[in-house]
Amino acid sequence: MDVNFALAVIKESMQKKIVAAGNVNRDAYIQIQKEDLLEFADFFKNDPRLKFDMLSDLFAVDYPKRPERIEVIYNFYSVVNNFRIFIKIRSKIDESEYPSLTSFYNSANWFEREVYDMFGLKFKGHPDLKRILNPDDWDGHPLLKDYPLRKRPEPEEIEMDRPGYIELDKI
Amino acid sequence: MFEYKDFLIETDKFALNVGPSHPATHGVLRVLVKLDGETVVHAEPMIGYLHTSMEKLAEHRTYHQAETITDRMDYVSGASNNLGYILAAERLCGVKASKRAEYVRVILAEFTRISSHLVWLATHAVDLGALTEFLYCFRERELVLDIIETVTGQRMTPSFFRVGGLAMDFHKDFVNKTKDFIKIFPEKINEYEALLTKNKIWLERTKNIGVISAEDAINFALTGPSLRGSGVKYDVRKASPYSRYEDFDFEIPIGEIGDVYDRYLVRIEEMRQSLKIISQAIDNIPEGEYSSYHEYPAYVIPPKKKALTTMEGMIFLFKYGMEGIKPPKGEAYVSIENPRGELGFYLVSDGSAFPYRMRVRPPSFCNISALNKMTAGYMVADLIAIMGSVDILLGEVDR
Repeated sequence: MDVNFALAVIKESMQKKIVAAGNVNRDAYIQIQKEDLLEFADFFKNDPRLKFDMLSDLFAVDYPKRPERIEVIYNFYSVVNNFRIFIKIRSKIDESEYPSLTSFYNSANWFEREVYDMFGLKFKGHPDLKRILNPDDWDGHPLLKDYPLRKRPEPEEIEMDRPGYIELDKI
Repeated sequence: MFEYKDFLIETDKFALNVGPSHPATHGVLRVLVKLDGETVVHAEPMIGYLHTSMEKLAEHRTYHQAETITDRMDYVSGASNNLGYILAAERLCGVKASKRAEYVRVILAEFTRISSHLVWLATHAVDLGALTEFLYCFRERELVLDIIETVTGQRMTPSFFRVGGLAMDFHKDFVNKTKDFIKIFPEKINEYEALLTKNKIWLERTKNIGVISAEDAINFALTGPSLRGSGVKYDVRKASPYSRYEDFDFEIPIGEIGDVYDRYLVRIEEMRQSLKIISQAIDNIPEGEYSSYHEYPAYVIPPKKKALTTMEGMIFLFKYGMEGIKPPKGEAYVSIENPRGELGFYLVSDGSAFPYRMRVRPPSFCNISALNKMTAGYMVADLIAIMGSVDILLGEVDR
């Protein structure tokens, strides 16, 4: 089965909620609104014809000139049916109602933390949203286009006596 | 006098910090473990100690300069990472490499898989106390790296692939060295297995340890041997073949229950299958050009001979070196089967010579995120076995 079948199934049930559809080279993508994401994820995971059981990747791209500058891209893959589809959602950085997919896919946990770390987008409903690759006290979000390539913190900003351990009740 | 209760140690709420500089974490992984006595209740991996923001760096390099970043990401399987990146860049440009180039790419990628699995087996066995295995594995790994060096000039970070083919044709010694290696290596794999596979100590340490079910493995987006150990027959080389993998005949080994021992068996068998692919490819390397410059002169580096004999070849080479290639606007995604799992590259091009965004779908990153699921309920000593069996590489987890 190929992805055209999946697209036909999705369009049949969700036609009204698809903003745009197209191709990422050889793979298909659909663009949707962020309010509909949880509904789509539920449909993707549980529909017997689709069975997108793996959230293979989740990342963002920054387009500073757009009014909604962050484009979050989800990479859904079905191990059973062997097809892949991308979902794109545009959002502002300081969006307060951006839904988290952690209730459907465990892999979304770290991916969403990475997007938060690199872009500053906060996912609502994430169990433990904190920085993952950068230190907790890092200033700024490095993968935004207006973040310079060579940025160093000022010497007085570095707290040399900051404790390096984490309290037990936080884990 | 002492009473019995004086000898009881307060065991609840005991936190143990494994790493970041611990020899069994294979790099700078830090795991915060919550223990009840000696049993792991919760294990939280903390990553980022090796973070160098390679995705940001790639946005400030040309397409071919960014290739050198990819093999430094996963420095044990450099050629494999280069392959994924170059395939994504080729798909962006609409370029197809020549058949000869694709065969050499497959051979190098499979050699990389063997060398990566050898490093994994060596370090994993040392973690569990089998030092001889380490010496055996590094002995053969040196042979593999020699062959890779014969072709690419580099042992671990080749950066040998170019959009549309290779940097140069392979060296004349390559075929003979590879054939020699194919002759001796199957016996060596038996040697590794003789030490471990039916070893009582090894079985005690690995059987029924770190079990993860197939559903959980898919839900955590595990790929590679960690997923196949749980019995899911998913391999990108078969599911969506790239770079002429459909020409070769090979099996996908899978495990049964998804414990440490299954993942060990899967990787051992994968080395045999890789060798099978190499022996098929090396016998059938087609004659012809190593790059498809004639079909796609706009994107492919001109051969050096062309530049030294013709005017336009010289101009193209100069432009290529000064400006780099400029793929059309668009996006492309390619995933390949890395030794550690599914490695994906998502490239966004805005029409300039620099990638607008390079997203790496890191296999180790996803694999280690399931560590808590795998370790909860096992002993602290098993944590080391499980971390080893997942085969992470911190350069790629942190990027």
